[in-house]
Amino acid sequence: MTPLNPVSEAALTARIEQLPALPTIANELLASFDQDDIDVDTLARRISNDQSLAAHTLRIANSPFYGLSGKVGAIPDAIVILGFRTVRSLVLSAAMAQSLGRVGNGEFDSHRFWRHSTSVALFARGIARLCRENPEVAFTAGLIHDMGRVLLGTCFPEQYRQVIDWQRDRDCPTMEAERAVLGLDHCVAGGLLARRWCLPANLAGAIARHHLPDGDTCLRLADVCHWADVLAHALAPNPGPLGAVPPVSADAWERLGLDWAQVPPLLQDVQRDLEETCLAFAA
Amino acid sequence: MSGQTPPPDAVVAAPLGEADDREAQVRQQVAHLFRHAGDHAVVERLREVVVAYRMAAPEGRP
Repeated sequence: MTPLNPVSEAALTARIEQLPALPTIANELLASFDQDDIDVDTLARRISNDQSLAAHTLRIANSPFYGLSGKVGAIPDAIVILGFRTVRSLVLSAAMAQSLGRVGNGEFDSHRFWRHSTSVALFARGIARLCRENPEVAFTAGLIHDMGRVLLGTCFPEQYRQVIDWQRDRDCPTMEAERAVLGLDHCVAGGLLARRWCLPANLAGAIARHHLPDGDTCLRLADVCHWADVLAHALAPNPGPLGAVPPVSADAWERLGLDWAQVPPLLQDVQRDLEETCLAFAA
Repeated sequence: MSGQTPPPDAVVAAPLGEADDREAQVRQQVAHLFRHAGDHAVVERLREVVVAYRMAAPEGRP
């Protein structure tokens, strides 16, 4: 079927090239996920040197979620009080949120979007703990798994409005509507942005394959993100006409090796933490 | 007669009826939420988990 209002990968790539790159420190922090020997003092200084990023991180660290209101005055303090891993997640989240900006398109509900992303991040962290994957990497992956939607909504607002109309009129999954209107979907867009930001292969793969985790080569983090996304949709209080649970991969469930008895406590944990986490990351 | 006790069946039937109504409502909401999810066994199991979770939650909470 010919797309209604196609966006070529070349056009999308050209728009991505105009977006700000991630700050260098964000790439250094991403690289540190794979390092055993991390020079925390040097990274703390490097974070502090990016004033905007440091300020954003400190606002999150001082939010009610961490119960430290007004106590964290500098990045080294944040590392001492919260631990390096938590601060790393905060800085990465702040960097990506700054680079992506907030979607202002009236049809694109940015509040709902960030709430969903936070929910997926919490579910991804919980699933990763259960299946012995890195929970901080999973949290970051969950937070940015839909960045392709932000990209499409920001760069092609009129076409994306048509996507939403298509989805609403035909009651179909988001991916199907995106392909019908644009000829590509937010997973493709997210994969291209991940390449532009030089994200590690596992994060880029999770973004590009969170709706289609099955294939010749399966990626654990994509499986984690896929099921985190499914659970986040299932738990959404007011999903609205566009918030249905997307098509589910049973194979990804099998690969993760989770026990059904683990799901209700996971739902409860995320339900308990979601509001405060949303507040923290909206700081 | 004002002091007459209703038959046991009637006493049991009212709350059970309300519970049935709520469960039917939750099942309908969850089925709608999962309308694109697919129809394999894993989805069915997840739907049951979500129904049970919502039924156990106070009314008004997901």
